Amino acid sequence: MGLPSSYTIAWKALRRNRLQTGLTMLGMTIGVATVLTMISLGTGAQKAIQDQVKAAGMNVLVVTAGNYQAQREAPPDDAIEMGQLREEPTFARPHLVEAMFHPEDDPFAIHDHPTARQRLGDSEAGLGAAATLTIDDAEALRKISGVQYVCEGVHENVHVVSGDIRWFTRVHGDGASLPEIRRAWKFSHGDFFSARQERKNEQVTVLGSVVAEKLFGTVNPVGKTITLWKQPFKVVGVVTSSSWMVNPAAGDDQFDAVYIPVTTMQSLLNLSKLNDITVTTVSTGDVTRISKIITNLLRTRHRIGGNTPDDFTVASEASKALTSGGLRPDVASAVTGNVSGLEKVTLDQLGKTLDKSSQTMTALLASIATVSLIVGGIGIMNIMMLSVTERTREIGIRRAVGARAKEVLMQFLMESVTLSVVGGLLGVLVGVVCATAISHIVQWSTSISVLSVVLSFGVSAAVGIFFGYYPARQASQVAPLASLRYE
Amino acid sequence: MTAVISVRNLSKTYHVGEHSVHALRSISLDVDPGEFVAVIGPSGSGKSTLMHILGCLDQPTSGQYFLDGRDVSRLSDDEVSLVRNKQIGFVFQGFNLLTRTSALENVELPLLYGTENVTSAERKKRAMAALEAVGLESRWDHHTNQLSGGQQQRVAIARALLNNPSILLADEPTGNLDSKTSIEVMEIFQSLQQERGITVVLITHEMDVAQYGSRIVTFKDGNIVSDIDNESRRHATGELESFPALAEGVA
Repeated sequence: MGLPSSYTIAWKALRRNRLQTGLTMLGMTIGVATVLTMISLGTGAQKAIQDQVKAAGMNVLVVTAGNYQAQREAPPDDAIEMGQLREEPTFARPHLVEAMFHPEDDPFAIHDHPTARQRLGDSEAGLGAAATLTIDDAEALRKISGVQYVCEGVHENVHVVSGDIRWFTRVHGDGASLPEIRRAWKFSHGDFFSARQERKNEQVTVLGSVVAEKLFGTVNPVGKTITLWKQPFKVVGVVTSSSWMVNPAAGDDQFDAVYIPVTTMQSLLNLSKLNDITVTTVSTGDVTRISKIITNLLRTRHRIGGNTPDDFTVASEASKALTSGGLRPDVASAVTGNVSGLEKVTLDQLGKTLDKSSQTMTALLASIATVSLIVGGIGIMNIMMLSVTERTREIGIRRAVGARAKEVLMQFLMESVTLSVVGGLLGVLVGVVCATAISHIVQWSTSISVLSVVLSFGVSAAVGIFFGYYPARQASQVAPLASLRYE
Repeated sequence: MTAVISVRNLSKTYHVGEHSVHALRSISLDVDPGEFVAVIGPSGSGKSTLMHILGCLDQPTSGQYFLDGRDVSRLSDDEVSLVRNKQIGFVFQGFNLLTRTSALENVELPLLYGTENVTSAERKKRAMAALEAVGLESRWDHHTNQLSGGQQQRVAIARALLNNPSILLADEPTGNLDSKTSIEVMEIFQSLQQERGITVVLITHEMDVAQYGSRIVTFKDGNIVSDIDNESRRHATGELESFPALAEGVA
């Protein structure tokens, strides 16, 4: 007698008591479904973190014109900075150097109005205000090995006009490679402008989905013409977010904006400078090295020597990974709470920290789920133990017609394995449905891997064998005679 | 002719607390093929113990038991299971059918065990043939609780016959049946013995049931007190014909 036969026997026996069989399976189903859902929530969070980090630009460097450092400490009001003593190489006595005094900065003046620093605060230095980057700089960066994409950027505010409708928004002059850098983009209509259109200074534009909706409603705007600076621009595409984590909204920089070729923007506005250059590296681990190379290259190109500070800033985008949604709030707050000075953290570190806290969360969820799996297993054991007592007579009948002890053992083991495996399979099904429902309703990211399905299935089979063995052994040790007398 | 059952100096002692109960006190018995042996005795006489040992459900304290010439009293559990499967057919007082299971599946049961691999089609065919032999082929898909006592006992007989056993052991087979169904069951036993030459060992405490046997062995206090050929044997077939029709459907 082989396995198939003992399986047949077990299956027939289980069918004889459907309610009990069903209820026992239910216990297992709940256990496995919980495990699967929990694991999928955990891995989903981890995946969301990775996506976030990538979307925010694990491999993205932004070179911004100008050099602005957040001030570590507040400067004294009306500080005497400009007037400083300097040692002259002459024999004359030290004297007060003529300063580039703005009248307002006269330390001895008494002002009845706020000084520039007081009025403007840190924005005085103006991030990107200095126009020091050029298209040639971008070309030079493109030649660095390890650099993947380079995209020029000029940013302005503009009135976009279509018929009677006007919308004040951002206009970005960009290179044609921008969509390669913005991974979280998708085009709901048309496409981005091409490199050829960029080279030829064509007056084409791509609308952010918010702008497209303001100007055209639900109509497909591709092929329509809009007006910027009283110039006609042909709409070639509409861009929107590909991720449910990022929702296009009025006022955001990406989707409440229009994109035109940087060359077109420069020639129309008679500009020669860029506000920024966005660079991606081929490998994410290369970001630090490449940013050093870029710094050196640009310093050479801009003829900056010695201790003179850079006239540009190279930065990797970091804090965006947390500020835009999609993470389970507990994970996000765990990380933001633990990392001080978020700006100083590299994306690498950030990713690791996020992963770690997410793993902790997954472990916690998994241990809760394991408890429910064990409870399911004990349920099976309980039912099987009861079953052995209750079915002593049946065992006796089987023994009387020639069942060997090990065949009885196999039957009961098969029964418990069937209970756990069928229950487990249903659990996988329920788990998948639950996880999908959670990601739709609560908007947490979940991820069901083949591994987690195989794992929960394997665990349920193991539970069946583990918790079924003892009762099965009890059953096989029932004496054939004793069981026939048993009423 | 070699005896199917040959028992030599068989003893069985149970220990209940500090007392020893001698259920069988060194008995010897031979049963030839095709015999219909009725074993009779009051309760506690040791006849049930004998039946359990003959059925390989229990092992003797001492002595030997040869079934088809082979000593089966000291076999391992696996070997003894196979003997039960192949050589012995049981019919019990309480029918001992699986509940919530069809008659057919009950009859098939012995084929699920044993050494040979039988396909489910073959199982079904053989089980149907056995049901036919007891006249229940039309009820094959009825669950056991949908059958009358007599029908249930006939299902049990069909199950016992399935592997063509050397002996058919019946332990008070009519104990739970009314008189007419009892006669019907006895008719089956008698026809099996006469037409197919099956050896039947019937255990009972009622003399009128024992009268259907071709030989009557009487037990008392663990000993055989008499072993005689039955001169005034009852014949179930004839009795059924003269049985009043009103008993129909009572079972």
